[in-house]
Amino acid sequence: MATSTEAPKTVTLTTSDNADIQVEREVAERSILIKNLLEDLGGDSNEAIPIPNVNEAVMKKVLEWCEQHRKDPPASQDDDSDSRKKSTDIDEWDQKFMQVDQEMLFEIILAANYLDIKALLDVGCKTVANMIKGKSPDEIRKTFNIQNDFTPEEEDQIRRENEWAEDR
Amino acid sequence: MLSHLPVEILRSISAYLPPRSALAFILVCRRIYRACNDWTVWRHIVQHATGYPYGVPTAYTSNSNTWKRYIVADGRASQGRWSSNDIEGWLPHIVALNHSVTFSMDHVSLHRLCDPIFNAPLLSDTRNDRDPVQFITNPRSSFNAGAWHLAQAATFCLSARLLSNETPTRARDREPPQLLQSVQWFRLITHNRLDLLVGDSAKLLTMLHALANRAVGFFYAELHWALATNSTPMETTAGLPHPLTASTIPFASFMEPPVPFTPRSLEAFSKCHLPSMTDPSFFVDDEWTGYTSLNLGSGPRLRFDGIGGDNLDVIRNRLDQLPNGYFPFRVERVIRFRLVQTYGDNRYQLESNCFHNQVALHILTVTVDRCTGRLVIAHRAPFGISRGLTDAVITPFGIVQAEIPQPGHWTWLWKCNWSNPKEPHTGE
Repeated sequence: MATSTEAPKTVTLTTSDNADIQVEREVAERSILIKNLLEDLGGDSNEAIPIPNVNEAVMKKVLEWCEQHRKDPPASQDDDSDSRKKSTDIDEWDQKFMQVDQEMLFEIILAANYLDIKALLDVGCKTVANMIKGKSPDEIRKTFNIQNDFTPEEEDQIRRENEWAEDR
Repeated sequence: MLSHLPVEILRSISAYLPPRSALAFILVCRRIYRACNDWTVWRHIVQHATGYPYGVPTAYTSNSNTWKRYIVADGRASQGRWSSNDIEGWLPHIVALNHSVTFSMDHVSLHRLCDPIFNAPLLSDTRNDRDPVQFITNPRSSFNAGAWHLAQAATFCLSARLLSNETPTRARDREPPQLLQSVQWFRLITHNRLDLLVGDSAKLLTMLHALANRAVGFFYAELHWALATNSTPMETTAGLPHPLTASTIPFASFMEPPVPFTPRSLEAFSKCHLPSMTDPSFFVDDEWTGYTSLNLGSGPRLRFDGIGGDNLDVIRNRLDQLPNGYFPFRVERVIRFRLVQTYGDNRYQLESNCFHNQVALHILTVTVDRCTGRLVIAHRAPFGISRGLTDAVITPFGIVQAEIPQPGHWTWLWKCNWSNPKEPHTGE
């Protein structure tokens, strides 16, 4: 049992571009990947932990989120039970946090996925969902700079599937 | 880039979208289509869609396309200007799940769809059956069974819509609505069941269900007017039950509607409330209440008498207590049913307690046919005066019965816990 007077334990993370970042262990452990790694390494290892899929800029951004949410209760496994709440509500701090360019937004989502930070992944997906909501396919393509690679026949076919016209 | 995200992440994003946006999203490009046109996504969206407050019962969703059908139906719900294809395809199917479209339905197009069927007169087959104060007993309709199935489903939607006017219009300065007397009715009782072909009998029962659904919405509109103007026999609303509303009837708990966009679903829809609603426990487990419209004569004044309304006879003679010196039972303000007899052919008989409204005491004997939802109600006063048998049906809104012999004279009974306590029932 640790006493509360001890200085907080820190860990060192080495990012894909070889930057070392020192961070409090409690903050880093918002990532289930890092938490499991630290547990596997045993109590008081001082080794730097390599994070080969995330670069320094993104890692710093992710850690900023972890710092803000360090005291959050662990996410409940099954959020299907509290259904029908407004599912795309995002709290104010997170909304500001997610005001980044699209490239960074997707990098954060990928990092959250890799590092296994479910709450951050959810915020990322909700942010993208909010950007899609209410838009036509064309508007979505423009917003995200996506090429329409359907043939006109394919597009027509999917439209009809979406109308369920063929069953009537 | 968005379209390059891993499949699982694309699916998570899609799962947070409202139904219409999720359908637009899969039209963006091939990769998103392949990732997100997936039943796990559709299921998640349906389970979280605000349109389906009670979700979609998983028992009906055996194939993976099923979930998407509810998404497509939800997307259509916001459009309006409906045709008979919408009634056949999806609309009643989701209203029966208490979908939020109930509160915003395009009622003009619903009226347009079913008015021709209801306004065409039902004709009598026999000449000696023309007593103007009697309902006809051997009706012919120029519309076929399919049209009546459509009418039943469309009026289910229409009446649910009429029952969802949470803020009823102020009635005092308006003419009373004269709607109920336009709803036709006929007597099935006098038919010898063996005289009818199976198909004819099924069509007649569908007609009764359709007419009863139609009556409910009109009854509701007239009842609101009557309560707001104290148009009751005693000119007070004291003790009367609150009207119910579409949001307080848990359709989803007792209807098993067919999946949207499945063939021939209106016939299945016409009976989808019967398995639960004709189970004896449905009647026996809860207390019932309701109103009778007393629109006798041609005066402009509508009068409604409600179960539980203060009855001077009951109060003066303490009939609601025991011993009361008159009956070996208490006269109550609610209806309770008990099962008295079960017959072999899917029918059974219920008997009610003795209950009162403002003007009379009542005891009902109800014979329920589980296959058709038809009820035959024998009505008597505790002194033994019988008023004969009347035809009724169990609708998703409760028991609907046209009283003999006057058109516009109906009784509608529902479970006490469907009454909406927020529903004002007096003219402030």
